[in-house]
Amino acid sequence: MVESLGTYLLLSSALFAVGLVGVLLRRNLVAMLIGIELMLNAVIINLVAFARFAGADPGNGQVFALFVIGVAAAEAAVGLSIILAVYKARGAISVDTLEELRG
Amino acid sequence: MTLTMWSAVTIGAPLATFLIFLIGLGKAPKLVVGMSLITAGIACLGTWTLALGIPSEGFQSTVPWAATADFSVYLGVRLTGLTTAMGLVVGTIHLAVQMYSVGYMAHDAAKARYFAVLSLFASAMLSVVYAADLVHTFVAWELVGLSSYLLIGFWNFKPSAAQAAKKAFIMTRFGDLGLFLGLVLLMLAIPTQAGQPSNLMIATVLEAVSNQTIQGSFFGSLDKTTVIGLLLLCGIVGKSAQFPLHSWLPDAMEGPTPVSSLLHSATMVAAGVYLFALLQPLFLASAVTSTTALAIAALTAVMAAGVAMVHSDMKRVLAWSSISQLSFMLMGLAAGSPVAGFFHLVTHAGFKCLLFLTAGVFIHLAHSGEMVVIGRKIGASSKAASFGLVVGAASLAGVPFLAGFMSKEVILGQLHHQGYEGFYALALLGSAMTAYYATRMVALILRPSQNMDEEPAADTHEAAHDHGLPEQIMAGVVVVLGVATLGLGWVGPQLSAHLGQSAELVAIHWNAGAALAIAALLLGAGLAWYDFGRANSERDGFLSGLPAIEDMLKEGWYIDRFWRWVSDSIIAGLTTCALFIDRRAIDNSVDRLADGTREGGGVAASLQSGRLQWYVSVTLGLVAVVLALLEWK
Repeated sequence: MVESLGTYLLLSSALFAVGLVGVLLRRNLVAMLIGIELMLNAVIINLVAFARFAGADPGNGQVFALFVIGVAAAEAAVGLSIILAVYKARGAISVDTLEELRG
Repeated sequence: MTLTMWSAVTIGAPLATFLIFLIGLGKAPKLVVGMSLITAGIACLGTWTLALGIPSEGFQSTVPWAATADFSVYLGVRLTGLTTAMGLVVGTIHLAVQMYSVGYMAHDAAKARYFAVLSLFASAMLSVVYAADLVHTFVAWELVGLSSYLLIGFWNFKPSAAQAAKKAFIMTRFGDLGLFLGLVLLMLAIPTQAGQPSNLMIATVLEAVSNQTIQGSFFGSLDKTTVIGLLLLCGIVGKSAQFPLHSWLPDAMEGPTPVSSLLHSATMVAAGVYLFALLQPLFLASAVTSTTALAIAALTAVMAAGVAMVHSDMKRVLAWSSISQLSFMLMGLAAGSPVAGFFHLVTHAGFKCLLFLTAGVFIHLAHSGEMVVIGRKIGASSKAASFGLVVGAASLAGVPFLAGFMSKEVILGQLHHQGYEGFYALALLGSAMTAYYATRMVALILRPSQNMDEEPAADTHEAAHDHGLPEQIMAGVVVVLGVATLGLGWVGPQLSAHLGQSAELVAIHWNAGAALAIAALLLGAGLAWYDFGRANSERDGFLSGLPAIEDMLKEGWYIDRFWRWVSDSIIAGLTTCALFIDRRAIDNSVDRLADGTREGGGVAASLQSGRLQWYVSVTLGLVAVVLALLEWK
């Protein structure tokens, strides 16, 4: 494989698409959260790739990547605890049961 | 004290009683009643002082009240023979009624309010009488209307009293609308010196009339004097209960009887006639106005006397009689005599006040206003009331040498003298009818039918009530007033001199005219005696043989029904329009707004599906669109 920006962008797009499909189609909240994590990872790949091929100093992108990983961890922790609370309240974690806000 | 101070005290003293009541001393009825009596006495004394103390050229004292560059209003008094004579009548009758009321209202819980409003009534009327400026007159005139409203509706827990008060107030407002317009037009028509504001002082108006400076016409063809006169006449017709605004007066009987007495003799209804007398030259300046006034008065005199002939309630008979007698006064004034109508106002004030106070005694004792019931229960057993009734009714009927005869004869003479033969004939007819209902009243009460005395025991019981202090006060006032009324017919020359006219104007000429008047009296009285007074008479009157006419009279010539129809159809029309506008314009637009909001809300709500993934899809879709737009650009 040629080591170029396009290759990494292709990978990141594929990963993002997989994550998006997971968020859009899965009814399980945990599965949706996993989809979101995949999309975040796609973004991280983008950051690192751009920093490596287009940026002046590759270190910048890597620092951002580390931040995003930290944020994603925090997000997973918050998201999972919300899901746990929903499960305790509802006894289910399907998004179909969460529609109080329907107008 | 100066005349100015005396006038201020005369008008202000009764007003002070009302103010005392207003600031919350109504909880001390004895204080209010006492103060009311004292101030009535002061006012009466004041009216006498003013009448005896005015210089021959008259007296005027004013202060500016409101002034603009174009028009000024003055507050003040104008004392002439006419105003002081009228003030004398008001002050004296007011005092008599106040004293009588102490007896009549002795057991009423709200007597503080009664006496306070009665005082306000007198103060307002005195203000009308003495006012120097027509704007001041108008304000006081409306105060008279207001206080009569309060008094007619005094027993406001009775729906009929509340209704009658509203009727009196609203009907007189109809007339006052004309009066107000007339005053506005008069203000515009009064000529002014260049640079000086105009005013509506009575002296100014009378001067303008006598100099004939009210010239020209409104809208090109309507003579100013005529238009103003006719509009002012509206107010007089309303206040003095003339056709077609007369029907409030009989209903005003819902008030306490002393109120009726005051209202019918010296205040309220007399205010209309008084205003005519005050501005008589203005009315006489236009033949159209004076003839209209004569026609209205003559028509009312006969119509009202006709109704008085059939009513069975004593106070209602007296009320219709007042309407008829007021018409006589207006006829005298409109026929151009400076004294005749006013003389009748004075004598009528005396005997009508007497008759009402007598009626009050009868009703107080019999607990009923029906003449037949009074006759059966009381009859001639109350000496004071019988005396008052006979004197009053004889004066009313026009028995020679009594008050009513002397003044009515002057009016008849004036009508004949001025060549108003048609109105003269109507007035004679009215006199005969007056004699009829006066005699009928006396006969029904003092000679009750013998074949109907089913409760003789009640008589002695009722008679025992005759000796309480309140009853003695009432009887005392009636007797004193009765004696005074006996002599009232002879004040004509003094009154005439006081007004600055020759005594010749009120002299009785013992000619064919007097013979006709006496013949009318004998005809009416004789017929009534035949119907009601003689032994074994049928006691239902010759009119019961003519049911159509009798019904018409009992209904008051259907005038009330007419007004009801008018107000109903006007109000029904207005409400239909309002309903249409309400339903179609207001309701519909509000409904459309609400429906629109609901529909918009429905559309907006459908976006809020509650499905998380749908939101995400939409968000992504929008981001995609934005990106596409940015790219495309």
